[in-house]
Amino acid sequence: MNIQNELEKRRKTCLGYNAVFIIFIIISFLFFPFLGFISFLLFALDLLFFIFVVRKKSAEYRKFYKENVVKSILKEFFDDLFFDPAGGISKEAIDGTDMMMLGNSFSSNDYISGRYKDIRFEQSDVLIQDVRSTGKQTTTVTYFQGRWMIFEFNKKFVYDMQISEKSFLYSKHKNSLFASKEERFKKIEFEDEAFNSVFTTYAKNEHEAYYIVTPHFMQNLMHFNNAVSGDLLLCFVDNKLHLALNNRKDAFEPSVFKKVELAFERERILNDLSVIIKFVETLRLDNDLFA
Amino acid sequence: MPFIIAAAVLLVLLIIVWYISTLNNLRIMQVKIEEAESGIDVALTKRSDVLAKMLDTCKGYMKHESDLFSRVIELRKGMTLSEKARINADMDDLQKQINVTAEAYPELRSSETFVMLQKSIADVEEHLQASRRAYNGNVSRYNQKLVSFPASVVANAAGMKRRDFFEASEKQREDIKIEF
Repeated sequence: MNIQNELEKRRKTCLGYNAVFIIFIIISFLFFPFLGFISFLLFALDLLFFIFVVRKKSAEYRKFYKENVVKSILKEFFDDLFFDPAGGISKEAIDGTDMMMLGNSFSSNDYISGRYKDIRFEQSDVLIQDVRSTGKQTTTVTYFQGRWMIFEFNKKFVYDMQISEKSFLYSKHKNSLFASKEERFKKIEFEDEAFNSVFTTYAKNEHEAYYIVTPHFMQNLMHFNNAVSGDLLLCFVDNKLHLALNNRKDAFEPSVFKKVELAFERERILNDLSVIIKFVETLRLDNDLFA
Repeated sequence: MPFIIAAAVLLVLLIIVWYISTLNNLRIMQVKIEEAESGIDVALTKRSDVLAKMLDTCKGYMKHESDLFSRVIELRKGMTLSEKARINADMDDLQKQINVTAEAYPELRSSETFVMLQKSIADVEEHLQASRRAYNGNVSRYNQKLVSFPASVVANAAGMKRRDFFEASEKQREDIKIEF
């Protein structure tokens, strides 16, 4: 099977179904003054056509793209790869950090787990929103849209810590007076003023914060932050490092409106997965500190 | 007239409240410094323990290195900061000496215990570095507060003095040089 041809065939099918849907929407609006109820019926049927046919075809096209294009590229870079386009990091895993506001709408997809330079990681696209309806008006506030990654961390720690870029708006931490002393997070100001001006650090234990955030770590995190677009949140919990990159993007998604060129797609996918590679390499997570 | 008296009493009360809260803040900062200093003590003790274990392990392999085994590094209670810094520098020297001497003993270098102890010492050093930075961070904030007006008035009245920093040893400076 020629993947390029098959993709193009499926993309054109999707495009065709989309075109039919749009044409019927236009017709139902244009003819509403003349056809009345029939026009309304046409509109309703068109919506059903979109829900049950167009969306299904688009999902099949995306699935084919991810299984045949994305997965093969991921395999080149990661060991023990597991890729599930429909799966994702669970809400409970993110809630378990107790460091992110979760709103009332959660979805995740494109679950990847594997090893890079012997560092185990998992990641997925995550969308967290708060949807409020007054009956007349619905307001949606997007708390997070981007990549949530979980890495093995190369230092052992006991207490939780959070490093949040100042522009990352919906993180949370316990530092209220009502929290118990062991639970309470304290703001930590490191010796690097440039780092403090970009990131805010909250930790339960000051010594451990200094143990994890060394001068090199601060410098490397600043480099990583400059190399990727989006707002960063780092949660150190249960000897794992959660990295949230709020970049308002859905990674590894093909376009229905543009012809798929495999060479170009490769570049695009490499760009998406480079976040994982850059993070491990810049933060030197693969460095066995005590070897 | 009663209004002026009430205002004066209020002003005096405000000054007393401010004085007490500033003094409390300074005392809390002093406690934080002491806590951070105890972190240095813990890390130094751990380092000395691991070095002692290393020396014990080395003894089994090095029969003719009496020079190395005659070295004594003693941690005492109530040591001043400069004494602690000197002890830390002595530990750097001892560690360097162990590593250099171990070069001549391949069997020792490949022994599981020695490798494990080397890893432990690297971890202990990371902890010591963290304690030093935490301590210096707290001292820096405290010293800044002591010289800033109006807190300096309270600090002077309470006889509070600037604290010394815990200086990085030569080895830690070298490490940083290598990294950059």
